[in-house]
Amino acid sequence: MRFLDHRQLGVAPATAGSSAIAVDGHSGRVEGVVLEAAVVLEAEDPIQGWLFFMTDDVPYEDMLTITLTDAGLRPLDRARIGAPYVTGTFRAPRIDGPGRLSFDFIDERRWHLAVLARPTLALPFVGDPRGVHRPLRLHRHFTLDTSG
Amino acid sequence: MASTLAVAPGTTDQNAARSEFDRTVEILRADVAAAASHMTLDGAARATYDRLIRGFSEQTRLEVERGGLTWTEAADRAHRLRNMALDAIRGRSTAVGRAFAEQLKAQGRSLNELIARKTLQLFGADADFGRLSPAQRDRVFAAIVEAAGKSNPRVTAMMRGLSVAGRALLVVSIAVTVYTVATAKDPAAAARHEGAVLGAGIAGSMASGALAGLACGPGAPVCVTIGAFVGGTLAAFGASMVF
Repeated sequence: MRFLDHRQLGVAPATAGSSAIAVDGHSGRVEGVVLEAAVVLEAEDPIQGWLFFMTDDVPYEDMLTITLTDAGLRPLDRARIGAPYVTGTFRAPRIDGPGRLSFDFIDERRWHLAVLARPTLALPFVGDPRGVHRPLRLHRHFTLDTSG
Repeated sequence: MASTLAVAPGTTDQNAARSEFDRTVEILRADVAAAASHMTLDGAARATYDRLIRGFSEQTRLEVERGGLTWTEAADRAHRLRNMALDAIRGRSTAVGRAFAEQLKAQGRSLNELIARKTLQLFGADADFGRLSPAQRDRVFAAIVEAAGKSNPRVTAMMRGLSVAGRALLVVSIAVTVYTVATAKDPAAAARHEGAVLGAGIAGSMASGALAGLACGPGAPVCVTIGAFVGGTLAAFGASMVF
């Protein structure tokens, strides 16, 4: 797992609130407007693919959208962190181990992300820290927590 | 005669069961009306917020164009006004809406951080605000004034959806109330009863939501929502017993 230099990616506005991404000869679309960080998942990680951290370019009410894709930029999972009338600042991202990283964004807590080798069953609206929003699905391909 | 005696107690049971069912439906309707009121009020607060921050940003920009402010002063003023609008609008949200907004502590950006970020966005990854020309610096400050007038469109869309749903539920609640009153044997008594139950449900829900906000502490949306629901139910139940 390693961070990519922003200059290694092509990021362009797509439909309102989303961006077109091009990297390594692949192209895809992710939610969010400003690329905060991009991570490539390599052989030692649970899966090979990409993680994109995007914000909405609304400095006073920013939300962070995290998108996990496979190596071909096909979306596998997505989560958004934020709440109305609150803003966050993406800071200090750090690789913590294979498939694991942490960062600061909001709520004065360190956020920890772990990529799972395969999608696991999960109920909507439960199991995530407060302020995390996910699409209505019964599986997750990465977890978020603020405990450790 | 024997068959009459056998039927009579059953009719009484049926009447009691019917009465209990009607009361449950009434309380449910009061809860729906209370939820609809929360949604409508929070949607209205959001619309006010959007108008307020757009207005502040636009006014500030116009003052610069008239020569009343420099862009540096404008950016500082827009930054302060935006934070004031945020505090003001939280005060106008319902207890449930406020709890959702306060569930996370903001980790906002200082004016200096905004300047650094906008510098990079406008002039590239290697740009340094200190090395920008006065005209370029003004572009950075102007971008901050513009940003102060923007709210998150995802949140606005969600709140607009909630507001529309809330108003639709309120219309349905009122329509059912009107129908119930119009078809009652004693419309005046039915109107008093319906008004008391719905009113108590809404008022009870608002008051108990606020109390739950105090009891659960700031940023406890689940606790406050449950508190508002329980309070609305109890108030509607009490009103249905009294009226």
